[in-house]
Amino acid sequence: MKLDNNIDKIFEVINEMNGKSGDIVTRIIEKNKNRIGYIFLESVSSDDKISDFLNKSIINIDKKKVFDSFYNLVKNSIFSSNMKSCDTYEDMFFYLASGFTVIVVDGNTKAIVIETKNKLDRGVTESTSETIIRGPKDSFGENHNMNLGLIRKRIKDYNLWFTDTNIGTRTKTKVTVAYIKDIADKKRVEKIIDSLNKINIDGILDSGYIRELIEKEQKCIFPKMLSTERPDQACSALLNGKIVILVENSPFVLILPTTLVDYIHSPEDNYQKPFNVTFNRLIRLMCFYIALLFPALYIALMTYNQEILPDQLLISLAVQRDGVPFPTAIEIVIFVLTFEVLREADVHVPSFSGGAMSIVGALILGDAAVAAGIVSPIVIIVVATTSLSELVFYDVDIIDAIREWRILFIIAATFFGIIGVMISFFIFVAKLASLECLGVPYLTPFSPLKLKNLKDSVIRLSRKDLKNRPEYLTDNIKRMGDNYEENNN
Amino acid sequence: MKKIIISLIILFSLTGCFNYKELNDYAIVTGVAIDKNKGKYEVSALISNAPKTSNDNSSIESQIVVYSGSGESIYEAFKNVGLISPKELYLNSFSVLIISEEVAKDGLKNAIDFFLRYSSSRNKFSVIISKDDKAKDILKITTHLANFPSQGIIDNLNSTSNLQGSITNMNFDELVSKILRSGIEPVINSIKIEGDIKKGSSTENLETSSPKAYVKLGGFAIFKNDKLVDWADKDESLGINMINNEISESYLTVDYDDGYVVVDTTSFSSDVKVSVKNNKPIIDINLSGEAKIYEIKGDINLKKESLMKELEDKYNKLIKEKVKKAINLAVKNKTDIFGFGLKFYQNYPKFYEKVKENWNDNLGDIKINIKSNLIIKNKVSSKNSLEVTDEK
Repeated sequence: MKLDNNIDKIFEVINEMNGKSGDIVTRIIEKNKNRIGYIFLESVSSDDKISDFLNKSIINIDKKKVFDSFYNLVKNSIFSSNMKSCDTYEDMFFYLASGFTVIVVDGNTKAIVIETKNKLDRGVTESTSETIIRGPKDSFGENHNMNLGLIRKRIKDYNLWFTDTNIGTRTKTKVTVAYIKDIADKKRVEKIIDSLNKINIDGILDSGYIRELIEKEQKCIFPKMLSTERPDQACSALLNGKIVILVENSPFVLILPTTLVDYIHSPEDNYQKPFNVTFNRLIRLMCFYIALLFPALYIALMTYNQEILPDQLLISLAVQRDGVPFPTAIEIVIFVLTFEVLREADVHVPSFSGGAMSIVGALILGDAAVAAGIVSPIVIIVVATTSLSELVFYDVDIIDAIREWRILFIIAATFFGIIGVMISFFIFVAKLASLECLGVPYLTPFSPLKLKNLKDSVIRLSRKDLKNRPEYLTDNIKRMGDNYEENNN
Repeated sequence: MKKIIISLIILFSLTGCFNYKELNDYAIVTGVAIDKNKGKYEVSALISNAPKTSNDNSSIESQIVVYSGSGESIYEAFKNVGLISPKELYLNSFSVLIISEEVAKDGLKNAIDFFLRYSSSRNKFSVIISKDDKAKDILKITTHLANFPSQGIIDNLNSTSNLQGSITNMNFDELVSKILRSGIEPVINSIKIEGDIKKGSSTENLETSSPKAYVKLGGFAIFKNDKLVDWADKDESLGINMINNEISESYLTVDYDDGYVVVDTTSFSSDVKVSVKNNKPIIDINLSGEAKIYEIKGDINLKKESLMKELEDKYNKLIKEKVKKAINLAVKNKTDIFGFGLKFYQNYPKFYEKVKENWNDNLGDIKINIKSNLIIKNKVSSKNSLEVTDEK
């Protein structure tokens, strides 16, 4: 709908459009027998900015300056670094909601828009979901520009490109695809932008929406896009040739393509000594298998394949099991579910009742359950070890994926023993091998085996040995100059 | 989707759970004893996972129980044990098989055949012969340092076979191969109860610091064609182990003047070489290794090199004596417990084929050369025996 050329009319239309919402503020100032009107939403705009810059500049408009129209005079007299113009009511409201102030003058069907945003976010805070010991501590926030800035200030290369799109017919959320132009694979960037443009939805509230909408195989449990709230993690991915998607109002950015081995890596891995990193990654890999298989193996060993256990352990287990009324599998399921309930409650519980919950969790469910003869102590050890192992991973999606497969393994072990576990493990590996993200197989670099890329997979060699980027991500693989040694000597 | 549901139904209804068994439905047998009772086999099973009756619910302990049953065959005897035991016997992981003297004298083949055929038994259990006492009584003697008697016996076997020369841990696989092979006969350590059997099998035994009864490992039982023929004493057992190269540590006391020197080996190896000369078999036994002085009594100055030489000679002589004793025992019983015949079979098969028939009987005619070259390395801090010396 085109703008009218009368201030009163415009104000009336805007008010009607938004149901005379309470936060619409309008004002008309008369200057040299011309009227200047401005509108802003006080909920998203900063009063200070408006009175400091807009009001002052309107009052100080000097008639002597030579402009062909009053509109241009106003436009050139306002102190504002970010000025735009619009000529439809829809655009106008988009700007108003984004925290801009709209200035209209009589007799002109164009409106001047200046930025007067109120800061409605937390600023740069410390990362809460991915805490590390050594390394930068800042985290992405809800402010889109701030997020872009956190990347931009780390990579000061003109090849770092941001491609914006607005998605959501109602939310009009800004989604930015960030990539380093001469490293990232062009086809992948195009593919992502293409699939982003195809999205037709009323609203995007978080990067989780985007991930769900552009992922092809919806049924796949394993996450195929790493999400992180750490700018350094995002930048390291960009430098490797990956592509980062930032979504307005979401502190979690998406990194793709992602492979399984990325979940074994931690942001900290870039800042520690290679040997320690390798050790930590081996621990994480071990935890991955423990979290997947431990309860299933326990069931299989306890109910089918007891001959594998050494006799001392066998007797100790048998005595512990004595008097427990449930079959081993039921025992495990009861406790695995109990832990899931605990975890679910823990996520949402306010911090002041955390103490009460830990008492209930540790004392009542742990100790009392054994004393009451509902479960055997070893089951608590098994479930506790399993749960502890899955918490090693900072990405909640991989934790959930492991949990779902664990339940499948438990079912297989319950009915078919160790053979069931083995067969379902084959299925598990086959399933993982069948996945791919933007043309990169999920198990890269193990399957297909890429010896060069094993240098930074489960093991990490020192930076001197990691001169190249992974070639499955980019053609421009040179990361470090060949004359590295010479420069240092 | 339909296909998946149908295949799942088939999967779970036609397969699955075929050998499902909860662990606590088993009576876990950790030791088995075989006795002879009125011409029948009597099998006793030591079950170690009986829950202890106690008021305190949180502490979980087990106690032991021994069930016995007899039958014409071992299998029948086990089935009769099953009649007593409330839970199914679990024979997959027992660690010790005790065979009584009587059964051993009748021949091991019948007694161990069942264990060889039993599909899920682990074949790594140790075999031991009970001397004088009933095998099932040995299973009952409680011990302070292990949770259940069979564990005590196994721990004892494992530790002493490293620290004492006269003990060797014989496991079932080894025993079977020695029985089945020609040219070698098995030797198995014996075990004995010292003290009151009745008191020893009650928990009372565990409540005092000086147990009323305990089991003690002894010398070898000597077999010929799977039948027990003789017992070896400690010296002879040591000699047998020396020839068979089963020694890691073994002490000997060398007499010197009025006193003595106690020497213990730090490394020991024996090398048995066989050869045939003029159609006559010759065996060379070379013993080598190092030893260390542990104790001295009397006026002995270790700084003197000549004395060390003398000690070494005496020590080697002593070793030769033990080896000879062991050989004499074998010759006396006409049984090749050292596997000389097997060595000839491996190196001179044609020759062995000829003498195979009367090999054991002619054991005494073979020329056996024994060489002992052990070195005493004296790295002990004090060169003299302890005595008061005047400071000058």
